[in-house]
Amino acid sequence: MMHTMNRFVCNNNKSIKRFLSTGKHSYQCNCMFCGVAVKSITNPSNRLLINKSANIKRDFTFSSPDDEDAHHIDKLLDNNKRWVKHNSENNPDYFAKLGQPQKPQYLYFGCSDSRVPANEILGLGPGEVFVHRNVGNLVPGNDLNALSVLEFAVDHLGVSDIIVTGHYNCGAVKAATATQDLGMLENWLRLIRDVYRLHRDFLDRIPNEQDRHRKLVELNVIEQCINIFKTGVVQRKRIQSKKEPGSKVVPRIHGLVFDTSEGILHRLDVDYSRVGSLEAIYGLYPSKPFL
Amino acid sequence: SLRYINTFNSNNQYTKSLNKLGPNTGRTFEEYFNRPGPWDEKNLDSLLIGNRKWIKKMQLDDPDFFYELKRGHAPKILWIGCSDARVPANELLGEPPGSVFVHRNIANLVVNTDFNCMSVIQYAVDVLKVKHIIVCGHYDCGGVKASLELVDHRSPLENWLRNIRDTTRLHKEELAELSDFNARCRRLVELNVIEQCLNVFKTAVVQRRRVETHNLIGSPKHNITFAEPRVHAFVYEPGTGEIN
Repeated sequence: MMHTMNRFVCNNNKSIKRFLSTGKHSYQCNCMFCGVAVKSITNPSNRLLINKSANIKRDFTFSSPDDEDAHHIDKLLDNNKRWVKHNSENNPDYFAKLGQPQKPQYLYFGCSDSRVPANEILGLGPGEVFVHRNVGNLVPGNDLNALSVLEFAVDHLGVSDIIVTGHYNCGAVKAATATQDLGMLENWLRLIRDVYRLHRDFLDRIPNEQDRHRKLVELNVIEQCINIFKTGVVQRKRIQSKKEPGSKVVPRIHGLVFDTSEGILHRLDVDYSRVGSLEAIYGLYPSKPFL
Repeated sequence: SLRYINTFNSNNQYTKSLNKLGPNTGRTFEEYFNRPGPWDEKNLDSLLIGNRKWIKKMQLDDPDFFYELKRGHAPKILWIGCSDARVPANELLGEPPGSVFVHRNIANLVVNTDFNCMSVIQYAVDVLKVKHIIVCGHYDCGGVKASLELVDHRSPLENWLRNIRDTTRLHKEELAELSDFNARCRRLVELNVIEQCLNVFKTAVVQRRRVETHNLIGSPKHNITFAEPRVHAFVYEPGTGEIN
């Protein structure tokens, strides 16, 4: 790229600075503290135009010198104090129990949707369920975040049941079926579009849009359950648990869907014979049973 | 009218006259940006013809060249470099194809949460058992320069360049002393390479193999004289072609 150094006045510190031409019509102030990228200059030799665009106010988005913002979460802190009082009165060693290392039985993968709080809908208290929530309750094979949660829960905490919960009227699933570009989010929602592709014949035949959406929500949950089966962590643990005589195979994987209008969790029936047929592709320990 | 494409390796009756001063002498940036080439066609047939010519040329130099390649590769060097078009890994080192296992990304970053780079390192160290890992940066790096600008480069690129901004933070004082933007860019290129070398050291794969090979130095069965893989920090100057 061609670089030309032109002398202009920087409006931020009022000194004659050298502006670096970084492209066809953009310039950048050379001093460390301005770092202002000036764009859309038609006539670079026109000093007044440069100064006009260089006068971009740097508002520091990092630190808020205005301390009034802190009081916006005072309500939450009051709620917290009330919660502490309520629990300590009813049950004296409630918090002492929380201080112990956790031993949850369940791992829950759910949607970040604020209408689907994990503990509440399952009726479980603190210390009983290890929760991971993200947009669209996805468990991708290449997401370090979800896979770290899965590995920690299965290997280190020893959970016995993994629950994947979707919900009807999921915004992520709706966005994934829409023809629009949400920028970076599309990289994440593409995983739901891939689920649609796998079940395209079935879904395209459903005439009613609402029914199609509900079916996609359910199929998404089932696909995420399959994704969990594909991971080496879960396969290894299942084989290990089967070796010990008299014990059940853990972890078990369950797919549920939450109906926000009624608040009921419905069990999804997974066709386990179809899942078993995937062993030829995803089985990492081929001589052992997949399920 | 046919204008012969002055390719990198060509030297024939058409290009001899053009090569007197160098291929891009006298051109403006616009002319260089719009230069003709096999990419002007929709289906890249000329590029594939160029590929056939390259095959013939390599076979002239060494008839067994492709036979050796067919048998497999055993590179001894892992190169982590920048995707920049001016920095082809094995050419810069003067090595033929089959000697260097290459991973190139924007600004030659080694990020622990990036499955891509981590898979390359795991494969190179565990399976290929490379002896050296070279992290090579280069001056006039677009990624490093973009990270010094206070501009939002938008979604995945900005997140990728954040890793360079974190390196800037670690060396804030040293970079602030440099007044010239270009000097700051050059120094950040060097600091970035060093930081990525440290990131390579942080991976469990590299640490495990280094311990393993350290214990095998001097063993008669293994050909190991130093703890493998050894990590090197290189920087390339596109203007002169030198690697330091």
